[in-house]
Amino acid sequence: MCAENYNSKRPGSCALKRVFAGCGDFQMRAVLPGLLPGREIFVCWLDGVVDGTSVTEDILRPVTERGRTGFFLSAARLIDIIERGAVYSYTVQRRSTLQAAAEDIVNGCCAVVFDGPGEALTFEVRTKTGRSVSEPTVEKSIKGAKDAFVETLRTNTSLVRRKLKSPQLKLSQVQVGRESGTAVAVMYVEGIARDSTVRELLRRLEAIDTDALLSAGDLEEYISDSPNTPFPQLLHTERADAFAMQLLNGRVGVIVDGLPLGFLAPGCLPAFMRVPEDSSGHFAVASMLLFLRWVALGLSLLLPAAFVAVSMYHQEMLPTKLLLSMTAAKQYVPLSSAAEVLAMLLSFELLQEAGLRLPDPVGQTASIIGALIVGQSAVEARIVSPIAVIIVALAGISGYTMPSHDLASAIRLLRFLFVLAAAALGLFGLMAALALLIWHLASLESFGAPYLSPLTDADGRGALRALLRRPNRCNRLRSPVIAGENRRRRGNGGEK
Amino acid sequence: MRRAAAFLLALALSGLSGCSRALLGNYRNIEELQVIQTLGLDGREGGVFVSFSTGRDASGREVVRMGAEGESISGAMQALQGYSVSGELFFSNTGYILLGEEAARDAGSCLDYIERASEIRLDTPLFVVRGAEAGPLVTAGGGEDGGITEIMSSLERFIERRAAGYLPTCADIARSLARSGAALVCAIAPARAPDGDYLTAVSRGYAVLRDGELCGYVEGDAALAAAAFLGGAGEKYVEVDGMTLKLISCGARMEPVWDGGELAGLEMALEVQASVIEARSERDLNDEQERSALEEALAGTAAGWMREVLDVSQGTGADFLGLGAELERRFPARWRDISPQWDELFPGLEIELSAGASVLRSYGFDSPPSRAGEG
Repeated sequence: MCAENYNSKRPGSCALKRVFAGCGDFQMRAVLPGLLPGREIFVCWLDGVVDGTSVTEDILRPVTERGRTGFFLSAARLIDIIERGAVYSYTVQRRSTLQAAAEDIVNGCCAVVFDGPGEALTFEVRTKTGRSVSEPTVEKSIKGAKDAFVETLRTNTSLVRRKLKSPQLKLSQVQVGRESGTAVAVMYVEGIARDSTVRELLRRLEAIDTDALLSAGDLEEYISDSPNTPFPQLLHTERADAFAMQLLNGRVGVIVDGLPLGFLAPGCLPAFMRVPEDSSGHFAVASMLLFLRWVALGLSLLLPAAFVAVSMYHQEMLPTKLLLSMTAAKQYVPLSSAAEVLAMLLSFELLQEAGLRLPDPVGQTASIIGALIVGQSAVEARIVSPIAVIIVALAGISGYTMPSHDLASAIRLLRFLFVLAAAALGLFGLMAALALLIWHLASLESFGAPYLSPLTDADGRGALRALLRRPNRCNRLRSPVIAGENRRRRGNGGEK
Repeated sequence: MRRAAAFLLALALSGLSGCSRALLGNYRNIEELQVIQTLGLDGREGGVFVSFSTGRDASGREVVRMGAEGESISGAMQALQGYSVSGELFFSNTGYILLGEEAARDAGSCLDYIERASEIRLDTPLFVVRGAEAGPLVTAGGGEDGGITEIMSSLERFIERRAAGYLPTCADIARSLARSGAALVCAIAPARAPDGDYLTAVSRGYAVLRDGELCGYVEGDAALAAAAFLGGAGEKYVEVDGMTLKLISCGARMEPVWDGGELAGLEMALEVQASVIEARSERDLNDEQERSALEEALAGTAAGWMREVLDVSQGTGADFLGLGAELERRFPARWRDISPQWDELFPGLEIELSAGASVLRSYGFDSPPSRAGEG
């Protein structure tokens, strides 16, 4: 029987029952403080969300322990005593609104509800079950740390804290999603990150008005400067060390509860070409690999289109032996170069998509059969020429060298457009498409930073910084377009 | 977004302009191209005979060889296009251009066509077929199984490495004609292959062009001296005093002799370095005198080459070595005074020659077998 007003906006047992009506995992237990008759209080929690042992040992036991709570105390005094330590919990919140109490409960708190004054004390007793910290699956680490982000926000923030043991590492938390109530943490190093970036990021997060924030794509779309571009504007990593490294570059991190990823803003194109392992190896080797990735980016984007343009319009650009070889390869092939490249690109995408969607053993079989049919059989049947297969395969493999899956996807999309432009107007079309792309990229900004930075930095050495990994001793200052006031990374050029 | 839309609209509208016709008109299916690799030009009575040979590709297509006559080169080419058995004739990858001797007598007009033709590359080597027409060589060279292109390809490598060494392209020739009024063109001659009954080509020094007309030849080893002055001689084998020497390097330089402000003459020096690769006479090259004698003999031979070249040059009045241009480059102020009389001055100019030679390596011929064990 409910003594309180059923429609009250203050926390109470009946009001909470109303709020959680139909929630089979909602538990409410009436207990007598100090086992003394006369005043019932209600302990509420969501089964599975909280740790049962903690509820029993840390809340129910001290509340019901005889003599622990005063005899015939007023409700207000009882709340005060429990809040001040009668219950063993490292967090306690006093809630006087129903909504706040309900939010705490869904966030893994156990609420002790006092019907009389219409107040509740909430204690965090969230269950510890979840995936344990494990090795990164995508960003493999050879010489770096092996701890990757998991789906639990607090575990992830603690991983970052362990890398940067500084009180300057700040953490602001907001909740996003009307229904999901997803906790989102914004992490940055004060002084190193730009205040304006932090403020803007928090503003954009708080402005998100959606039912739920459950996927990385949702977050990126909501807080990106230009959601219409296929190019990624937020860096993301599953490695805590890479996340910490980027915080020290002046970027602002975002960690979303439920996503095993850390996002970083601002995201500029050259940053998407780097991998955390670049900083683990020797700078010369890392520079070579970084340069190779840029070459692969160019090949992946331009090679099919250049092949189409040259083989359809500009045959005179080919060395004679290559021209003769290509002419021979194309004999009796019914499709034009553009059609066969488009067909092969489409087949490539289909194979890739099929391989991803099917379960692993079936996916591998499908890929092998598909590759045989599309590659060998199509060539033998003279439906496509071997050189078109080589070009598309080379472009595809080059695309796989992209560290960022989102960037690789954007390149895959643009590859089709470039081929169409080259098929329509030859190298003129290809160059026009390239000029448009550069114009588009140059017009993008991510949280105030030019998307092509440092390629477009005014000092003229930006391209060098983007294309090569400089030795640490030369890398003394943080990027002026990303970092805040504290730009000095190390003293004396890093010399001993 | 509005700017992007405007750009796309402009792009779409450009399709209505005349440029689009030019662009779209360039579309060619690569598999339909007949890639011409050797082009022959012959002068005929009142016209020109153009012949071509395609290259052999991996698809097993037959080599296409054809020739047609026309009033002009373009006319003959158009006639050829009409005869073409399959596909479109594609001249952009022409690797060799052969001028028959008759056409070489009016090489200037052929070069003029080549320079203006957008589909022929200026870096294509040009050859003069000495004493014959290019047509038969182009259409019948190499016999049934081969082709003139393979022959020219091996001849090109031979000239660059084991013969004179200097292989002028159309661009080099046009530049030399524009600068000095004369140029050297590689000369070849048709010949029967020793191992088969088919027509092939052999190197025959250089043809000399003066004011766009054929006016003589530089023959034999003398071509080496010309090449040394123009860009570097090849590693040719030369016979000197019963020994076979391989030229390692051959360089030439020129110094003017001034008499006040007047050009009194030229001093030309040729420097040759060689290695012994074969010896038919016993000679102890460890002996300083014998080595010096060999070097002197080589220097004398080299000086003879140079003299021969200069005789041809001064005899025809064709400054194909670019001596005037060299003077202009080094002494521009004095050249202004000389240049009006250069054509008259050059044939009679006193040119003093000197040559030096050194034998760098003897590969064991220092001690001939007959003297092994001595000393």
